[in-house]
Amino acid sequence: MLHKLPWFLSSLFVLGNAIALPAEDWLQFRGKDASSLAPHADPPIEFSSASKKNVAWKVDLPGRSAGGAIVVGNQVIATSSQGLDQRRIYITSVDSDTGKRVWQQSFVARGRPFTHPYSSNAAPTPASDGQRIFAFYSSNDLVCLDLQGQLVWYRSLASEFPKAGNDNGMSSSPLVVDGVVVVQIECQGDSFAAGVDAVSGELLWRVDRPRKINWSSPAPITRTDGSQLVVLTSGEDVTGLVARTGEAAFKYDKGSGKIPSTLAWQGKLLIASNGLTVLDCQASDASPKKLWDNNKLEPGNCSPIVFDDAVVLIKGGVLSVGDLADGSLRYKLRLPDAGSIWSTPVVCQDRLYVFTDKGRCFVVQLGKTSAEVIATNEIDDTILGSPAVSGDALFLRGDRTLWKIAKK
Amino acid sequence: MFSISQIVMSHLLHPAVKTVHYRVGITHTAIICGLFAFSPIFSLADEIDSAIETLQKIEANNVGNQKAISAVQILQTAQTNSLFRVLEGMKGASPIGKNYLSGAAGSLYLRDRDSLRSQLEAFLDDKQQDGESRYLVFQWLTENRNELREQMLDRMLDDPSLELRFDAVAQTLKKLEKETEPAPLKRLLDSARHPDQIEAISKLLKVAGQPVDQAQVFGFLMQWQTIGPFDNVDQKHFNTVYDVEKKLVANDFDPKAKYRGKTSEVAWQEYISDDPAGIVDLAKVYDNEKGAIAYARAVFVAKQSVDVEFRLGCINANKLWVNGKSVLMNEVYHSGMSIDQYIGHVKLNQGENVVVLKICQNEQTETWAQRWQFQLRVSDATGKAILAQNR
Repeated sequence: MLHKLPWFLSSLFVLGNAIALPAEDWLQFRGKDASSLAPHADPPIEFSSASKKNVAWKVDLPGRSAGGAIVVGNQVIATSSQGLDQRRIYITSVDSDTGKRVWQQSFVARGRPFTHPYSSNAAPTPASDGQRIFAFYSSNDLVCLDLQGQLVWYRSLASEFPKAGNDNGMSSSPLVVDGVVVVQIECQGDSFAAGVDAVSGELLWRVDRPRKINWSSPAPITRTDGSQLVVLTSGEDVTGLVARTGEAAFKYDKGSGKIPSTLAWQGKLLIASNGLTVLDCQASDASPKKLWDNNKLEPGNCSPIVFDDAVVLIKGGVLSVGDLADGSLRYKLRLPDAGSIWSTPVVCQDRLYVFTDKGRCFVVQLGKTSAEVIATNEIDDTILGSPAVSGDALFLRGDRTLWKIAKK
Repeated sequence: MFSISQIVMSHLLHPAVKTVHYRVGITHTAIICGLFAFSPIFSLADEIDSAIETLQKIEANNVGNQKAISAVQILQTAQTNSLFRVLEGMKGASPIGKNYLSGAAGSLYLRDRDSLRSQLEAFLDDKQQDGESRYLVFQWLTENRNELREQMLDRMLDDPSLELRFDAVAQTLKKLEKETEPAPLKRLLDSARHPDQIEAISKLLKVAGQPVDQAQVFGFLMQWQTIGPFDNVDQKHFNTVYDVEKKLVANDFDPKAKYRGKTSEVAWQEYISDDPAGIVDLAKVYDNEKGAIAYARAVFVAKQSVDVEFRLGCINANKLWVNGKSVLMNEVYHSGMSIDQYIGHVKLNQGENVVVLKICQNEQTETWAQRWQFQLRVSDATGKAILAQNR
């Protein structure tokens, strides 16, 4: 049809398609580049589970999770665990448009499935390389499915390394870098990080890690020579490994918080150390150098975010915004009656979406010198994982449910 | 890209896969016909059985994983009525193999959810089949069918599948939340195997005026002899074999013996737990000593020689020996504690069996890191208590 249209109409048609950007995938914890940013997304500012305002759909999932969902094409993927000691683990695909289940697979956890009652065996957020899904659990079961839900490979890392695990629950999410699924399993027993080939499921490398409990997730960084690294932080160190080989690329001998994950942003590392520490990590031939630290800019449970030229942090219901260049505090904003916040927020355009564990969402307009809460929304659910963003929708993993927040 | 048998199967058996292979071209149809003509022993059934066998043997250390990946692809592209052979194959498979077979079964089911229903019901009814495969089938059959799920679970209170039994007890427990008659609660207690459920039913029975001896229902060991504290400063002595340990493991026990402890001479003392959860509180016995080790000894008199499980809950680093044989070893401090946290398999001797525990406390100062305690019970493989004759 297109070739029969007058040239200017054809151009408009093409232009129109270019403007209506396809919904972007959200392939892992914190989305693209693990940045928590969705600059083109425009989700609703106001929504409510009670009135169903801007709730496009809500679906039940087979069990609980403390992680987030991911979006691959038109599939929203979430993991769950339930039943006897939370041993039954699930991966569920839901159609992002309709909320209907596309497929579901279930397995039995072979590692230790025990967690604090607040958490869940399905605490880590799954990851994808766009062709496969990698579901990881506190029990250290790692399952790879294709996009039709067929099993590609499976590894029980707790069977291979039997002392891996922690009975308060693990929650580090997997990360796919350079065709390698990287998992960070840090505990008092078999404590290690491993790289598993995304296609074959082969263990490419395994490195010992400090034998202390750690819940933070790996972060991706590309250095000036193009090498793709994965950054692991613990209470004792910040270590960069070549994702493909597990070779050490750098080490910084100061520890970081055990819950928030590091943000790698344009050659800089933002780590939860002495408040917030920013390291220059760009040069491929040098160890990271401290640029600044500021103990008034402390991340709580949430991972740091960089928006424009500012660092954005949440701790104890207080939003702190600092200058990325020098670490100076720009402003703080108290979020009223926030309670506990575990879910790392997301930034859509210039709006920060902050979810509390009780399902309250503060929508905060971020400015250079101040910020304003422009909406406070209530979702009747427990929200512990970070939202996924795709198109103009937020996908929330509730306790036993999945929500799509979008204009209907 | 495809094995011959996969192509054969896709042509002969599964229309969905056919569409993919049409891209390969029509000439392979002739090749397949030729293969059949010249290879009478060629058998799809054999290939499926071989794939199942490969998956059944996958070991915990992941040896054979590459073969498993090929095998699971063969099964997932097979005719959907192969589903039942895959489900049956879960019986006797290794734990890793079961998950591979479960994935293959899930994929086959996804391709044909409706036509297999009556056969799936028959499979679920067959209690000789593997419990995990039956639970998988149960989930498929009851998806979006809450009424059917409820009816089925009502019949599964004594199911050999622990997962099905757990769900069945949970359902009945919910119904009996406000029950004041002890009889139905007692019946439910007989069915329950999971600690959380046993605990919940025991509480309801107490409210209903018929308290049970919860420690007996669980089968906790209540009578102990303990000795300590020995040095564990800087968590250095988890693997140190103190004299007392050497003697205990060799079953050379003298209740009057004294040893050099952390700061002074130490001797055996009796500890009888009166806790409904069988807790042995070493912090209380040893005045909240930190960086310390205590040993505990008990004798379990068994009616007969029998395979049992020793189920330990412990918030500290621990080692367990039964009759001198190492059963459990966990160098983990303050990372949660629950009933049945660690499970070890033991064949009890008829008569006396000597149980020895080494429980190590570290020096963490946080308020949540002060406990130094354990609870130990003996059960069958389903979690049902096995009581000592000398209880």
